[in-house]
Amino acid sequence: MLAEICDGNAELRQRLVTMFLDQARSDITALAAALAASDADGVRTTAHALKGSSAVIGAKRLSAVAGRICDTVATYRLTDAFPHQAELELVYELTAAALLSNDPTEVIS
Amino acid sequence: MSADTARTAPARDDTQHRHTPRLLIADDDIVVQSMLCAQLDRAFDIVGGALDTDQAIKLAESCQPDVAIIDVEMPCGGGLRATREIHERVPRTAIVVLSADESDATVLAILNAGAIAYLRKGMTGQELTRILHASIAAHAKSLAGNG
Repeated sequence: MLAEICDGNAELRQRLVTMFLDQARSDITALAAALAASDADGVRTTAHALKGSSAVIGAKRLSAVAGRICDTVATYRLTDAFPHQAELELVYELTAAALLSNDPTEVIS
Repeated sequence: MSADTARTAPARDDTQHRHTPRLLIADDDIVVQSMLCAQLDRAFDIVGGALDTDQAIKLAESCQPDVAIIDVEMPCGGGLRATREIHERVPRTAIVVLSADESDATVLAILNAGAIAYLRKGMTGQELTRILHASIAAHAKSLAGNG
């Protein structure tokens, strides 16, 4: 996805990756705060945003975990989302490492 | 996000869009907007980027795009309100709804409110371009049929 969009333009790739990782980190922090505050709408909104931005950049695994959090909050108790939060942190780190290392597989699936 | 971050371009002569369709992108997520711009800027004349519903409506009125991508979840009323108002105020614009979740009930409501197609976040530039072109053509045909 990112390779298709950037078409060899390293500067554009760097800009998009940095923008995405900064925002995703901020979303994960906001999601943790919303979970801690038992703010179901905040959790769902933030997870939904992260699901979308991750999908657009091609970070499929991160998008899938964020999507599971949306589904969990919609279907089950808010506390059921806690295990997914830990997974989200882990997958974010893997995604960031792959994107920053210019891994041609681009993580991500 | 502030209104200062919205981007716009002045309306151009009507002959311009015969060659390159004019596109408005409305999404409160700046990453999504940037990615869509990078994916679509070769095939479309991107005339504006709105970060909320009010900006989307204003930019649609001032830029008169051929097609507008409208995100489902945006501040100031969301994609449903944006679609209703753009559909009413700028009928020439084909509206295409954008969502990360195809099962979102709001998507159906937006399609019923005047959007002509649905885009899933994560599509390739080629897929997006094909759907947007098809939407412009279908919308033009529908307008001609109604006229």
